[in-house]
Amino acid sequence: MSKKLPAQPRHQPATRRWQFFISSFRRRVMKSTISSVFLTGLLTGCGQNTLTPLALAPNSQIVPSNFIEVSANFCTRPRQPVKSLTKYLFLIDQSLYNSTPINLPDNPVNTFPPDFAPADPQGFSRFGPLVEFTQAVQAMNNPSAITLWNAIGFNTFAAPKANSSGSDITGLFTNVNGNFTAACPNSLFLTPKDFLPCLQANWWGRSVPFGPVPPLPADEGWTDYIGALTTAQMLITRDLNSNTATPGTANLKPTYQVFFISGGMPFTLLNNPNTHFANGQPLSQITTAIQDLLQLPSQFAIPFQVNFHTAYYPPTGQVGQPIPQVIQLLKDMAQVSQGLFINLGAAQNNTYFPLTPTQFNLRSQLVDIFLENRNLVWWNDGRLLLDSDGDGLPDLLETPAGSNPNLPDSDGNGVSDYVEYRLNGKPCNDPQCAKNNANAFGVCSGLNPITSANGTTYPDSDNDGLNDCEETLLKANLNQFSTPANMIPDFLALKNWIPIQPSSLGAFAIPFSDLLTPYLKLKYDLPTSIDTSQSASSTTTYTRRSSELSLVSSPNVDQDCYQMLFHSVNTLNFPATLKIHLIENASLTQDTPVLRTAEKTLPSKNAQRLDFVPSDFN
Amino acid sequence: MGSTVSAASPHPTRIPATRTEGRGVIRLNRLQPMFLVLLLSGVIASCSSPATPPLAPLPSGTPLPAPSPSVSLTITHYTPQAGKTWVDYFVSNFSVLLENQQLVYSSARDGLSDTFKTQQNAFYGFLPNSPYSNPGAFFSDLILFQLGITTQLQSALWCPSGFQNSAHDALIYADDRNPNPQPSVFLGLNDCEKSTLQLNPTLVSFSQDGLPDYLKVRCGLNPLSSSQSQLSPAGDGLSNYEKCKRHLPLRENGLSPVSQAYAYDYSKVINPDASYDLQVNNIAILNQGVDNFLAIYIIESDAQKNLSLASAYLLVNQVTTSTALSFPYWGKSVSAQASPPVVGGATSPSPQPSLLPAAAPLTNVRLFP
Repeated sequence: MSKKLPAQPRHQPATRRWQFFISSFRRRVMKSTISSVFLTGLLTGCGQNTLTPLALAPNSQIVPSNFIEVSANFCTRPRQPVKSLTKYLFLIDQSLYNSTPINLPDNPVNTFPPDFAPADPQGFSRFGPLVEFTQAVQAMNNPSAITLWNAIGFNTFAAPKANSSGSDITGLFTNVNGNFTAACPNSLFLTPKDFLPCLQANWWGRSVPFGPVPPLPADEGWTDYIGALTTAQMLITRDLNSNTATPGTANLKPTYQVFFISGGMPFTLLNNPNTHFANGQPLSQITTAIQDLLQLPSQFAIPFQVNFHTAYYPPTGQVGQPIPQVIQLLKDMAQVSQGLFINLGAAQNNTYFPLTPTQFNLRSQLVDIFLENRNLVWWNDGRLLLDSDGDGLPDLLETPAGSNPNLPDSDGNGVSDYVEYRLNGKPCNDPQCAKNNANAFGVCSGLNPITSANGTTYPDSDNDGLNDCEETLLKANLNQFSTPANMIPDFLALKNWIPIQPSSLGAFAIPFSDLLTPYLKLKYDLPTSIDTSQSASSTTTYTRRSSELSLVSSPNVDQDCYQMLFHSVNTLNFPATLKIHLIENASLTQDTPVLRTAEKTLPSKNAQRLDFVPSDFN
Repeated sequence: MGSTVSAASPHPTRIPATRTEGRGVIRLNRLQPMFLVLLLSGVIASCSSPATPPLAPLPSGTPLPAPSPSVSLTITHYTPQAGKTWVDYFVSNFSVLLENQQLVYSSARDGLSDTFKTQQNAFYGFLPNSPYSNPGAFFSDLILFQLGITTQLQSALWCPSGFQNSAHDALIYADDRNPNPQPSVFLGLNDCEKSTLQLNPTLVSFSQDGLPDYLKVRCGLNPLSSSQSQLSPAGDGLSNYEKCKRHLPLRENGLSPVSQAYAYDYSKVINPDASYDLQVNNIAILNQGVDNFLAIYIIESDAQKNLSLASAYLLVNQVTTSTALSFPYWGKSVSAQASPPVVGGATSPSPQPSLLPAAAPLTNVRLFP
């Protein structure tokens, strides 16, 4: 390949400068080949020391530089809703105390306290606010705030069933035999749409607002706080172990909102008011059960959170009075978990509103901007070289190595010439890059390769310029554009000899006496593998690209708009494609940076300026 | 006073003699100050406890005059707690923000300007005089805005622990501009806020880079990110850490005349007794020199690299000409760090009056930790 120097007189000084540049390269490269090879190994850390030292380039390979100005106008993305998964579990007092006394063998009417008044015979206190809340959350219809629902009725009968049943947990939606009612086919957490009919069909004691009276069990037995808490713990454990993620909730960290609704003291024995507390369940035992529930996350590898709240409902009608001891006990229980306490007797509409899943609409913020000339490479010996196909391997090296300088993947095996070079020291297995003799890279066979007559291609899941197969071979992350989380897209880092291993700090280390980090050299368009201060000692130096970032007016308060001006952008080649990498991240609560890119080709050889506009960015 | 500790001894920079003409000459001449910037920024980026060189001179253009009035602040005779080492220190006038190349006043001292808060009142219920306009929500206006929690959603926020501050990194004070000042104005991140932001309520700096999480949020950094403080999105070579520390906007050119004029300068003097005098210069003052709230954070690290923080605040009043302020270090003991004293002519009660400094250079300022 030969390159004619421009004949125009105004280019003469630049030409002379490049001659100094070239001669200095010769001297310096002689001195530093060994160290730079060593350093390359160090920086890349790929365990490969087989990189082929380059032959010195003929003078004609280096063309005069041409500096242009590049501007980029862009705005950050609109606010992004945060997906959340909330699982509501309501523990509902289902003791006989709620209903009109019924003569049962184990609870004869004559054992009821003389001042007995049914607390909630029609279920309005317990079920009404719950139905209202479920409907309200359903009406929000917020696709990013996913909610799932479940409920357990508790009494001294339900808890033993839960404990003894090896197969399933008796919950609110089972009948007296432990079988599920028709409206509620199982005891999994349900969507609001499925949960509402369950709730309505099993509204104990109701005066038929929703259809026929449900089958037993109605309210029965005594109030068993610890049994309810144990059942809740079992149910959450089973939910976490079930591996039946509701569609769209994978990877979401669930928050369990457990709500304990009771109207009476914990009784396990009956009727003597003086022995209720002594024979009941003391706060210390209840506290332990709550703490067990709250500490469930420590037993699981998957992250989740449990919150615990309580509510009290007073007896209805004229006879019953609120029971201060119960209110105090429920307040104390909420205090254990720093949860809410709600007095349903005093509550207004939409009692459970504080439990509505909080909707976050996160503001995006600009994190970084990188400008790349797709057709130029700072090779690891400090030379700036042409790269016509933009694969990262300079034309100068492609031709002698048998690869095609105009084809990023000469042997068509889905792994680019440059990545193969970095892995194996040569762009192809075959000296002439014959397709039938290419490395097969069988390790990538599961990565959805697409094979055509032109060869194999792989998807690039994270859009960082390295496809999934290349990232696998380089041990980079397929789904994070910056594997070491330094915000430099992986291909850009690899091309500039910046390590892409997880948790590598190489981008921010200072290897040379020029005191520049590889990160800053990338920003300044300088070679990362070379001490630029040493170069400055001879007859040439490196031209730093500079930039000016400023805020410009934004269409709304939720987005920031910027103008970035890049000065001294080297485009010594034509055609030249320039690419801008824009990194954005949520301002708070999430560290999930997003990569946006834009590519533009210089319109003409003499173009002095290239402008990117907001619509250029994906 | 001892000798000044310079931030970085400049490495020898050899700029080549320029033998070419025309375009090349211009380019190389322009390069010289650039190389200084390169050197300095390299130092900044490299250090775990970053040094703080002054901004490099502008390559072109005329710097604006320094802000007037401004104050310089010196914390004298600082020594770390036993078993701890000094990491860094930060001073910020919370009453002043640099936005759109202009200094603007923030009555609430909460990182949002009065103008902005008034504009957003209809959507978020923000009030210009309070960092927590919805006191029941326990979420600051700054956080509510970033999270996009508008007025009707704020009642669904749930914070049982209130203004609990497990990391002891917040400034809690009585705002005597109110008719009945309560010692409860909170500038920081409470435990609820930190939990919601996925941070650890017991940590001062979640990513352990030394920059307190609250300052990160104020500056526009994501406190969860491990690398963001080291980046230089404007490409000016100044890291986000550096710009946040020096009261500059992160996403604007730090070499512009405005940035050059308003950047804080940090310097440190070592005394014969091995204590430090920590100095910050060029702190811009607004509002006719009244009600400027200077927050001060000193970060220390123990042998296990756990960070802790000593905080204080200084209320600058009646400063009409540029003034040098100086006061002795207040956090000699751990308890003093955790609940530091009110110092100097305050109207609010002093929890630990014995720590009041004897010297009285503080005629026009009041120091509150």
